[in-house]
Amino acid sequence: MRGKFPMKVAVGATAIALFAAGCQSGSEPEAPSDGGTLRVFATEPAGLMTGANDSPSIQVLRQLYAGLVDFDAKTGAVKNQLAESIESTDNTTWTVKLKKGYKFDNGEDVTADSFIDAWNWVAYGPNAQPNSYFMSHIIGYADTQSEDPDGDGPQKAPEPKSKTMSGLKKVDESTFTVTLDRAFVGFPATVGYAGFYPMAKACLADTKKCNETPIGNGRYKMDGSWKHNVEVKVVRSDSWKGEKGKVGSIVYKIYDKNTTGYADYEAGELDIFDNVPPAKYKDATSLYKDTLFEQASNSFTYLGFPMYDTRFQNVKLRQALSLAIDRQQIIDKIFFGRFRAAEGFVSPNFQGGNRPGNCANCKYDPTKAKALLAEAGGWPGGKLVIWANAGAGHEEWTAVVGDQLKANLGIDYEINATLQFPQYLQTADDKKFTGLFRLGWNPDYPVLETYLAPLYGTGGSSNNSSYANKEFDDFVQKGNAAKTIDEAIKFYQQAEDILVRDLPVLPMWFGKATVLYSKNVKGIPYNTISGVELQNVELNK
Amino acid sequence: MSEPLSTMSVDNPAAPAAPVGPGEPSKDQSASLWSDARRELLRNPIFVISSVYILIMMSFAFVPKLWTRVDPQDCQLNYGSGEPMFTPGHWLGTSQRGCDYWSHTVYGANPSLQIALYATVGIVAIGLPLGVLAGFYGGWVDALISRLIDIVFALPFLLGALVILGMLRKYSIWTITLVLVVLGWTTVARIMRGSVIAAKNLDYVQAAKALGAKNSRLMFRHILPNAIAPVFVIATIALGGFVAAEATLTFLGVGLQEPAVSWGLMISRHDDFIETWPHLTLIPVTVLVGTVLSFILIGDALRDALDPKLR
Repeated sequence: MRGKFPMKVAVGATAIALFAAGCQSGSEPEAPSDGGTLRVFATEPAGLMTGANDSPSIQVLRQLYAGLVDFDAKTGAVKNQLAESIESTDNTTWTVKLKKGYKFDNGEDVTADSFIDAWNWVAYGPNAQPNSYFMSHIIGYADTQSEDPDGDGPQKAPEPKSKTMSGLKKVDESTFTVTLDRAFVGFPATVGYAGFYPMAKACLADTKKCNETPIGNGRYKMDGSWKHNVEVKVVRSDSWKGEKGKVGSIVYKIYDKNTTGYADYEAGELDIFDNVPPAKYKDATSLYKDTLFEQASNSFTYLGFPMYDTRFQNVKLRQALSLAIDRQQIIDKIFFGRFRAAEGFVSPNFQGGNRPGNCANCKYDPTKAKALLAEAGGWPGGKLVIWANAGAGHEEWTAVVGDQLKANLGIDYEINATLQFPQYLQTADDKKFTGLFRLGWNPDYPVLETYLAPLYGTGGSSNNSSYANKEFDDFVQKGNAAKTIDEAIKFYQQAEDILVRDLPVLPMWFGKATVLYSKNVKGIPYNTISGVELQNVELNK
Repeated sequence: MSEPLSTMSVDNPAAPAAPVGPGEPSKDQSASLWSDARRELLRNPIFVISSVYILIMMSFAFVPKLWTRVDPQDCQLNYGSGEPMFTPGHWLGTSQRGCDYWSHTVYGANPSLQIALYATVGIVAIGLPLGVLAGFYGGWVDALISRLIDIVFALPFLLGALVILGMLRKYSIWTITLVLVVLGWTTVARIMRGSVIAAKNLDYVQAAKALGAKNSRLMFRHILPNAIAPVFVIATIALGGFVAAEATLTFLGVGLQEPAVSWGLMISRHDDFIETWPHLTLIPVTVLVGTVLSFILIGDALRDALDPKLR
């Protein structure tokens, strides 16, 4: 979802809290027999209920909870975790069978109700959980929402029609069915996400308390409660039936600035640090070559075309602009290699996403670009405006894009980075962009569809280009209705091939996860879908 | 320069060879405040050095082709990113975007100085008449203008500028000038008001009044020329302040944007790399500080020269 861009950084932490966090004495790592303690950089989570969708929260929730499925670290394929099976005959009504014997930290069994109640609670509008929209394809979701009649005004939104979604039905203690409003073959992959974790009855009975001291069902459990702006500590849970975590405990040390965290990492106070400040990136990659882990991540940056502007409706012109941009050079010179140039519209980490060379129009070929622009009848004149949100460090690289277009195609440009992110998104929704616009995208679930339908589908929720192509929509729809995920991928890839030709946006690059680790850490086990697998980190002493 | 005013002349027997400006009647033994000041200034090395520096910066801004033939808009990463100083072809190196840094340093003077000049003209154009009116008429006119001044004064400069520019959503030389004028005219008005109040009761004004001079004549022929000196000083210092203000606003992200070329942009794009490429921050900072300092020193020298009591 685009809201995660720019990265949420914890706010409100005072200088005092920062001081406290920065100055905790680095407790000596314990003996390896119990796995030791792993000290991890974190920012203040927005909340520790499963409805939280910011990365600091999810980082903690992943260890406290276990979902129906998880993902293979290398291929990203879906593996059942708590689910015995997730099956459907029509891709619309899904039957979930649970494995038996899993328990919450307080001794409660994990049953069908634990999932149904949790999902209903997350979806229910008045609970204001950011993950609520993940449930939006479950039948009955609309009844759990209500429109505020005057936006942010004094009137309160009326109570929604229902507290539960009619699409969730319990069959027996360990079986339930989920009915979707459309066929979607990727449903099993979506339920690995934090919003779909189960919750204990005791937790739902007192959600305020549960937010401070979550009752999980995962590999780790809370040690004490959440110390705001200081730390969250979790220890290995004895009630967990599956494969045990390798480290004995994990301390999420909360910082309000990544620069402070970086200083602490340099001082040996952190074992895992994954938020290198951009300005320190160059230094960090040369200083800590031996304890640096890098892997392409899934965050996608693109420059969109406002297709509601007639100037951008000529496909040859769009191709010409794309071919005139040297993505790799921008990444090398402006970002010091911090990204991976896009070779398509979907993350190469995803099943079926890695097709190098598939996007002929994403290459750098100024000669072809000039020829195409001439065929398109040249640039209609005037300055090309490149939009970016203000204060997020996008001015420099968008200017370089402009420089390249000017050098290769002779188009004059102008940067408009005057809007803060909320107003910027509003401008996108109002379709008021007058030129290329920068936006980012993070996948919601590890199915190619998450990069396709919302961004380019006719009327898609984040289709800011206003791209509409029936052929594309049909391929996505065929993929959604396919029998197996492998079959679906073939359709999704055909849909992507249309994008590669039509270029409703200019794909720029995918992110790169950069993790620094201490000498005490053996290496970084990395999951292409969920990131660093903290539970599988091993310590030397 | 205004007409010589015998009333303010200072006896200066050692000045027969003083340079005399065009249009001014030459007088042997008595010189005007202004010609005295000029003589004093030309003998002041700080003033001369600062003026030469400002002249050079003015030539950077308005005839940049004297200094460089490189087009500052010709930026390509192919030219190298963050090249060090004394690279062949780019003697000040290149910016991260691959722009020739010397040409950016030269052309970067333009928006700063344009904004500073326009804004200074603006604050004098608004502040001076208001100050004169307030000082001369007193009473409710004075009360009205003074309260207005107080209100504008109460707005913190940076906050006000951020809010106004945030509302305008258009960052150009004109909007920045507008903001600087709106928030900056009060100093001139206050100084002018005080100066007029001090001057209006002097004998020669009373004499002119007694002879039946009209208010406008009193104000503009008699009071203004003798009360304007402090405004010159303030305006000169303000020039420096506005150069710095432009850089500050750009640095905060509400100033000019690419592909504009300005010192503020050069600083704000490279301050993160002060450890890697110190010269990319230090070069624009140096010329900027030099300009601001020069304006302030000129202002100082002007004040010394225009205030006979300090001589």
